Amino acid sequence: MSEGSTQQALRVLLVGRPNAGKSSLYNALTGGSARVGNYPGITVDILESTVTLPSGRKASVSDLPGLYSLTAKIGADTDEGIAQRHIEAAKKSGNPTVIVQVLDGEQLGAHLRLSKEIGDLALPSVLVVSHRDEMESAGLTLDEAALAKATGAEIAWISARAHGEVAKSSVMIAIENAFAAGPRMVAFDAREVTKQVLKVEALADENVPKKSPSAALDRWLLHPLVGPVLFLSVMAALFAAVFIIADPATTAVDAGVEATRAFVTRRFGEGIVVSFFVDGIVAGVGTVLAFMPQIVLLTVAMEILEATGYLARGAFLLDRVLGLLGLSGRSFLPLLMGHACAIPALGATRVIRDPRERLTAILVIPLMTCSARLPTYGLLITAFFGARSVWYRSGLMVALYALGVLSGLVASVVLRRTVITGRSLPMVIEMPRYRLPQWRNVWARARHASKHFLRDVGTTIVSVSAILWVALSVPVTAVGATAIDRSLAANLGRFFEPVTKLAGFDWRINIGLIGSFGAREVMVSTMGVIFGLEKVNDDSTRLAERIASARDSSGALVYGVPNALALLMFFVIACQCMSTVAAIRRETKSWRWPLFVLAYTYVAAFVLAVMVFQVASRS
Amino acid sequence: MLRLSEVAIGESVMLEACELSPDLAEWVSAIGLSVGDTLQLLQRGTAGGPLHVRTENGVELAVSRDMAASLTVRRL
Repeated sequence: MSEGSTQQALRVLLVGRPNAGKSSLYNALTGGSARVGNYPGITVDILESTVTLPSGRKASVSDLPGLYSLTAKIGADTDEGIAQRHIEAAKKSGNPTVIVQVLDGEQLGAHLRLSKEIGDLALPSVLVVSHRDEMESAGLTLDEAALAKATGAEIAWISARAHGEVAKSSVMIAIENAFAAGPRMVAFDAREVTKQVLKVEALADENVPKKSPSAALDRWLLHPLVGPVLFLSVMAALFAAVFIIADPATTAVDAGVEATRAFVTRRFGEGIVVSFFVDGIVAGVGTVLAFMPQIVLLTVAMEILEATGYLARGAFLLDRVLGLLGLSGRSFLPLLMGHACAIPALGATRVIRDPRERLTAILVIPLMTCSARLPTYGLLITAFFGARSVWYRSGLMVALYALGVLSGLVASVVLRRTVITGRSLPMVIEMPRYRLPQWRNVWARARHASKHFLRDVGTTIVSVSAILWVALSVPVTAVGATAIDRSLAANLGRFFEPVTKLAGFDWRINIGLIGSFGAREVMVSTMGVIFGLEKVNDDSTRLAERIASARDSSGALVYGVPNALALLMFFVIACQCMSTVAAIRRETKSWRWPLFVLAYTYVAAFVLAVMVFQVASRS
Repeated sequence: MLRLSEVAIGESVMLEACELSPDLAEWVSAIGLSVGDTLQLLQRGTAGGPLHVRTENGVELAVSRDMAASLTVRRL
């Protein structure tokens, strides 16, 4: 070992099959601290942290995505491909590196196949055999010395739940020993080694399968009839929780923005700078904060579902149905969450392992009917269908939801045949044993998700909020911001009117659409300002009446049912949500896909709105 | 020639051949479906859904019907 290499920080790469217990070990080694590694072109987060080994040497620990093989080439953009690239790059760099593989001791034979490939890398390696507690209670003992001899790796045998100092120090010592010993290449047969190193005690008859708790649970949870009902019930409860939490969060944020506005106005008056600060910046920050409870709740729920092994069961149950649409069972949860809010739903796509399927889900989630569409739906239904029966109006609302789902399914099929072509991973997913989640891991995941949402999505939301304030408020006059009907947005609205008239949108609706470019729920308040109502939230019925009774200079009604239907169609399809755009940017690590979503949804929304208006006007 | 997709629930079989492209076959083998491995069918998904299979290493997998139809097995 050279003098230089002893000075240089050690690179420790944590690898292993999915569900082996890598995250637990990462949290144990690093205390849960993490930065997301900056690797261009990678859509999964690689957590990294620097730790101090017992000798005082620094080591940079990277938690790589789960992988089954180093040699099977199934796509550079899959978790497998990303992990393979990192390991290859570490080997080529020549920097001091130790590979630490986490193995589930109860499935040692399967995990040792990967160990064999790691051994061929000729890098120092450590095999951390986890789930010691479960192995011992199942009567399994590991011959650590025999495993070390057979594989040429340092061995640490730990309990997955022992994230204390004992597990941490035993793994750290093994890392230092492995590096000091250097690479030791040993050829071995995974099946034979498993037989040699695992001692089975108190197993009466190998031919009599013992009913494990997982098998007993699966009898019900994977039952052809009971299973889907239970899974859909759990999903419905989760959906309701996310949906319900959005409302008080938004109310609290609105109250906070109002309180800030009142305080700042009292303190500094009603100048243009105050307006920019309150309506542009504070409102943007408020939007970001309103999403936080949903992000945390959904991240916690996803982590629990994944860690318990139930999410894989859900994928099993619903795979056939979603398979008809080019998706798999793993897409169900994100698509369902999209009906509450697209932002946490986009984060939830991380449970989809197939990169093409994940991208498809990301691109169609904006079409799901999120809660932010409801104020506009409510306003238009009240304005133009208020005289109809409650059943008629309810049916219309249900039809709008169904239209959202239908458009998502059509888009999914079209995207899989055009933009996102190529082979998908075959449906072979591991069904992990049921386990209780480790709260430390759940909390760490929720903390990372919130932090990165604030950083990656929050900054975009605040920037767009500020830009939209400018569009609705300039040109600035001596007395402050201009009236909205003389603003930059109004000029743009009038400019586009000859084209948008085809869909029945006049310049006033265009202002509303420009105002709601950043957040679709802003449509109602913008229309309120246009129609001379300051406090729309308190009296949306009056706004609906004013819109329905608006007349042009000749005295004719400006809007009718065809205009309303066209506008509803536009709102079903268009991605009027900068938070969604920013979240797509975050999940795809590129501006290409968010811009694609904006383009395809706006073009489709306008074309369909024109069709609806033209047909409805003639019937 | 028996396919995994035709095996009855509870039946144990040995995987004899995998009719997939070489790279895909290697990946599937790494997951736990290797030629020579013993498999047991535990469940069938509803309405043509995937198969729930346990391998000799204790790994449990959900395998789509299409994939299962490309795996040749022998009854034990």
